[in-house]
Amino acid sequence: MKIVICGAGEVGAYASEVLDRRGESITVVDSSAERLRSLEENLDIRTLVGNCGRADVLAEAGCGTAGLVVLATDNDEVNLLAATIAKRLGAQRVVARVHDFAYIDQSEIDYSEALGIDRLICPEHSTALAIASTLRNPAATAVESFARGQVQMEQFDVDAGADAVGKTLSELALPTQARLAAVQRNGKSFIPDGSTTIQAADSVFLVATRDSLDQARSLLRSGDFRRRRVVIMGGNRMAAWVCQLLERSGYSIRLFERDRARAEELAAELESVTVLNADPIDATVFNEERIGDADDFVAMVDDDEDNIIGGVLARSRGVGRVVALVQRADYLDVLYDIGVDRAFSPKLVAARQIEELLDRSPLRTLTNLARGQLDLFRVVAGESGRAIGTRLRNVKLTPDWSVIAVQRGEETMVPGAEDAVAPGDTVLVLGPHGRGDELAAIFGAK
Amino acid sequence: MNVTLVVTEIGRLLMLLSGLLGAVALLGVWDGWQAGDAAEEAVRLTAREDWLAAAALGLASVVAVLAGLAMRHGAGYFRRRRKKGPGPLGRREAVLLVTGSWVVGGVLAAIPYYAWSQWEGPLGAEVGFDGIVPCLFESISGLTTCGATILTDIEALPRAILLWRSLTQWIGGLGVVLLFVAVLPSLGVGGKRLFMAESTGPAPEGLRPHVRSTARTLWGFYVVLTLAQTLLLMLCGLGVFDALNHAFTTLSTGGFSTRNASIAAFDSVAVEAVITPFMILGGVSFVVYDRLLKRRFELVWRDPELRMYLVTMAGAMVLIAGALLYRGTAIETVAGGLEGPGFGASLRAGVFTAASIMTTTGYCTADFDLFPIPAIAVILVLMLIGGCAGSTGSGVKVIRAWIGVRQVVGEIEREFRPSVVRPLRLGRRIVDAATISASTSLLLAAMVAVAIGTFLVFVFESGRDIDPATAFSAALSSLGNVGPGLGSIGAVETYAGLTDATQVVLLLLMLLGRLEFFAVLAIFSRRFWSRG
Repeated sequence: MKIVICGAGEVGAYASEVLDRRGESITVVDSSAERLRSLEENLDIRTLVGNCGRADVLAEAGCGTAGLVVLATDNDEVNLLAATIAKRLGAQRVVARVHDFAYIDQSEIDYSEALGIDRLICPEHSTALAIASTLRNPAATAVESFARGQVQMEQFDVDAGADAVGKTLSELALPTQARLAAVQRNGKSFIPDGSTTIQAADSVFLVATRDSLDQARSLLRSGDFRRRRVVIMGGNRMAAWVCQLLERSGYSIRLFERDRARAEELAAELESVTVLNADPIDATVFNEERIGDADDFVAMVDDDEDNIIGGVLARSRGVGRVVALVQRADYLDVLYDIGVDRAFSPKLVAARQIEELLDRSPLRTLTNLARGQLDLFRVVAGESGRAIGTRLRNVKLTPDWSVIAVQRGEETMVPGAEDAVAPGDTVLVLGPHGRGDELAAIFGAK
Repeated sequence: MNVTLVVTEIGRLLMLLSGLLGAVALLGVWDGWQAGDAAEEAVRLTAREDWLAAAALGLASVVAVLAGLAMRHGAGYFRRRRKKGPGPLGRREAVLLVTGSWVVGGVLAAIPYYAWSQWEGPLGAEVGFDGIVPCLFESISGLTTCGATILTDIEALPRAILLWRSLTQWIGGLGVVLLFVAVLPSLGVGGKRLFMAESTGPAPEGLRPHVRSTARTLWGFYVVLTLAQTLLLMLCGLGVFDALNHAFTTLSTGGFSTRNASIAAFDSVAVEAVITPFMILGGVSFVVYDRLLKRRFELVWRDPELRMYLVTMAGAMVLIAGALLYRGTAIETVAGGLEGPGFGASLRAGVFTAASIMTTTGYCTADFDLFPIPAIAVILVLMLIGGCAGSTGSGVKVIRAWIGVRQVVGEIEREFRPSVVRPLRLGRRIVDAATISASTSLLLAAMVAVAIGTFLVFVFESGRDIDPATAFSAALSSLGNVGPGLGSIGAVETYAGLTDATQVVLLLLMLLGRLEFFAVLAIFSRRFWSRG
């Protein structure tokens, strides 16, 4: 497929690398010849020097016949403008990357629809969402989020003191927008039904919309209701988002920012967060603020090495868990061994989001869970199929499948037994490993 | 500094006030004419007082016109000689104009009192207008909406004088200069500066893009609410005259009454039930009315200062009533009646007193000098806090008290955590450093002023043994524009017994309190006048 990538910054360069590996034919446009040269040396791509906001440049890059145009310059407005132009020139799909979440937030106006852009992505916000989900459920061994975080799935162990222990699923009144997708017991995974009794030490896959997740989880975990202490190092935009996402959910958050002016901005923005104008790695500050007692340490400064060193230091001095923001993919493999529990890279997130757009097959395996026993599939429902238009309670899904989310237009829901899948819906299904073909048949996906 | 411009504008203000004086004089003429035709001998004798009142007000009106004309033409002559245009109204001119207007207005408003008492002879001195200083005290107390009085027998005064007295409070409540901004041709950005210099509170908010329409909107609310209260008071059985006078002095949070026993004279729960909400309305920012009118209820509901004001008010009502009930104090009214002890009497006294003191109105029903000490402590705190910013109420304002408290709390955290960055929040808004500094400076200035005021009262009253409560409450009550204090200036007493020197100190405190210090003090700054 012909792909045009505008902007050879972090995201643009990484995306061209990933897409080049897939063997697509790529043209990269950037205003800096120097940046393009270093990219061209390593990758088999065509480059073009020019201003991405101009129609003639975009036309020359081949946007008119491109299957995908990615707008990833540093400037949000240029990206939006260029995406609109590219679409007008005849590009099949366009995706624009934005830094400002206001463009993605649809409360005022849907920018992507108004401007005719297929997809707007904000990798930083997606990363912040992922970090917030990780922090929110300390017990979770896996966290996945779908539909821009509207629906989340978590895997964690049910503990002995939880309300749900000893009850069947039908006795346990989970919120309507939440369900148990799968249970793992004694090393075996199965899809529960109304008569399944929850036992202590079950490992469960809980799926819920963002609003119902906390309520549903509280039934399955007695949890310690102590306020968790979170320390965040660095006050970039992602850190502010993480704080906002965790606000009002009972966290004691301390945010350290070394720049005075930025610290004041953050303090103004984040009401329930204690902002400190200090370096948490500084020994005096570390001891005075007793950072060693914190449950989570999130290293989010703009420098990978600082984040890693900071995280390792914090871990060695007693912090419960360390999460670090690491841009460079090279490090990811070794981080766990040196004490960084989770690492997040916005660049990787962006690349994955762009790759998703390329994938137009109706059935796709998203991820593999429960030591390989379960697969998470995404299916686009076709016109005819056994499960189309029938209430889920009447659809006999064999082997055990669990429909965990249905995305219809902009809305994503966790379906109940009375809901039905309509043609064109995107359906997320959890089921046994390697049985995707049967699933495609049930949903009429071609 | 463009003094000629300021003089011209004060001249205009005088001519505006002369019209009001003339209108009030007509009431004296009408009363005198009516009384002269009356059947009873006793009533016919009062006709002379009414005619004198009309003459006194007429004299003041004429003086105002002449002074106004002289100031305008004098300033014009100087300007022509120096071949200068009128020039813009800058910040300095605005400050001088506001302070100057209040002083000149105060002097003008005292003329009818002084002229009347001089022509009246012994009766004038007997009721309290005993010389120039007491007359000036009464007029400044009126304009600043303080409500402290030196009159010992209010009911002996002719109705025209009483109406003028109430009218000064009504004008002063919203502001002498605001009247002028609303009525006179647009002063452009100068009008905005005037509005800022005169409005109460740390950050005055305009309601409309043009300051002139803001001024007119404010006067619109003011007139409508005043008329509404007049009608309600008439429904409670008050005559037109009493109803109008009390409406004038309620919404302006002034507190002058036409009766010696203030509101206790009516001894009516209904009257108190009408006056209390209007006092509370007077202590609310006028911005709130505008939002209500525009149906922006959400903003009103979320207004942090309004919430704090109402919560503090309700808390004070409960505390005072609770203290009265707990101690089993019988309520002695200013009119001499005795009520309670009991739940109803305690609640009635607590609610009215708290509303009257916190809004800095200063009406009295119960003699709070006899309240238990905890209730008096609450009253003293309320005197200091006062109403909301942008209201007719005085005191340091709820918002500043809150900023002060939060600043102290923030300082405590910075003591053990110097690197913390925690901005001072008011609702969702961040209070900027300049506002914090201005507010804390004003709080400090208020405390210094009360301390110096108390000291000076002691010095000037050294001839007679004055008790500390009187001296302190005189300074606090004058600065907060409340009116009554404790001890020998308590609810049943007046300021008549104080020496002229003390009265001058107190009337200066009233001006400082009403104009919120800095506009007045700037006049005494050398840099204010320097050209360099």
